[in-house]
Amino acid sequence: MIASVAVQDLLELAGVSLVATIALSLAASVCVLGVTRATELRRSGHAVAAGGYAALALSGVLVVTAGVVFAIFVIVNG
Amino acid sequence: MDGDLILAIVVVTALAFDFTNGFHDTANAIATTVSTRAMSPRAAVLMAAVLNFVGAFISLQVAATVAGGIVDAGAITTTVVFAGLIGAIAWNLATWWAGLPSSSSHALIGGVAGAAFVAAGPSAVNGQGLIDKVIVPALVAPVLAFCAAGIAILIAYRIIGRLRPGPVARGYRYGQLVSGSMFALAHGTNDAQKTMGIITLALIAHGNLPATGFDVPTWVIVTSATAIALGTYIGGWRIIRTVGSRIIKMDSAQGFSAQGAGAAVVLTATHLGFPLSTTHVISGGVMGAGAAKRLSAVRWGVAGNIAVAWCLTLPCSAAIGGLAYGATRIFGTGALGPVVVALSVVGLIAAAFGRRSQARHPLPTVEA
Repeated sequence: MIASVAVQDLLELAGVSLVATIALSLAASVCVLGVTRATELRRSGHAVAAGGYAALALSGVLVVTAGVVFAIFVIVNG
Repeated sequence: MDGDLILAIVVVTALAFDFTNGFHDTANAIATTVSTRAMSPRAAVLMAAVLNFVGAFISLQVAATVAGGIVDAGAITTTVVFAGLIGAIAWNLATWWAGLPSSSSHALIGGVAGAAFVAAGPSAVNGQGLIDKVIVPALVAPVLAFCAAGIAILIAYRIIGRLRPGPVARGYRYGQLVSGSMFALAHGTNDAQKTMGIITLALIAHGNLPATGFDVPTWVIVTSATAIALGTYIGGWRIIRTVGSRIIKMDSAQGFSAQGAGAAVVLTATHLGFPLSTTHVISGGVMGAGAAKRLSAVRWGVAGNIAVAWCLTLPCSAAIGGLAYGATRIFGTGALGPVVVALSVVGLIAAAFGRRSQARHPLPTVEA
């Protein structure tokens, strides 16, 4: 009986959930890393390196925001 | 006239279930946010209530599954739906009393399946639909959330491992505002729809909607969304304690990973039309985020109690649903049975809460 379960749907559930979680975690962690290091480097006078980490943090924020918007778009459009 | 009265009782009972679902499952969305102090409890509950309300409007896939995929719509009556709701409410309140995060979704599905089984025999329950759409996803989802949260926290620790803990914790607390919001939205999209599905099922049984090709009426969507949002705002602090601090003592990165994994699993499941248990998903996520750090970080005794409650949910709510249906039939096929059962349940709940309140605040003894 279980063989007739919508295996395709379950695989899709597993694949999409794992990829989304990993992407979200990666982006958020990069963001935290960027903000923390940028703050430390700015305080120690390394403005250029601080700017690089700030850009890294911004890219993390953008990826998280894009992921959230994409998720809502997919759900709303069924 | 009797039919209209039973339908009215069913709608009110379904909204009462939705309310209990909200306060029982609030923990899912905000427990980790509260326990890591990313938000104050009151603000977190308010956020969850608003996003549950919004989430209820943005997808109807699950409502369609509940209304059409698990019980034979042609074989059930409004009394069956009523009895199923009684089974679900009774189980929800019993597990809330014990502080156990069980699944409101499975309680509802079990209650309706049990009542349909007693009313019309085994053929009324779509066993294949139950396995495909409920039991297999129920087994897969917590494992999936466990693995996803585990991988997520390992990635997070790998990236932020050498940084000072203070700023990192602050950063993930901001992240939890996003992941908690997404999970609350996911909860609304998946859980409010179960009540919509049940009310729709009652409307089909009463003849207000066709058995196939129906649309969920707007008033059903609005009232269901309002009931779950109100229940969420009232909040279920007993279960918040269990999910937020009794399974593992978590840091904000773990809270973020658990909520992120939970939101991803529930939103994907909603898109595919699986009526998933958000409770199972977030509990699996919390355990995964704890176990990936250190296996002994998870209080496996608490996890075991939760797992036992999960296993008992479908059969117990089905048994109560079946009993409730039997009780209504003692009074014939009219509205008297549901009225008597509904009043009895309200009386029992009032008595139980009255005793609890008295135990907490005993009356002062008068000295002679």
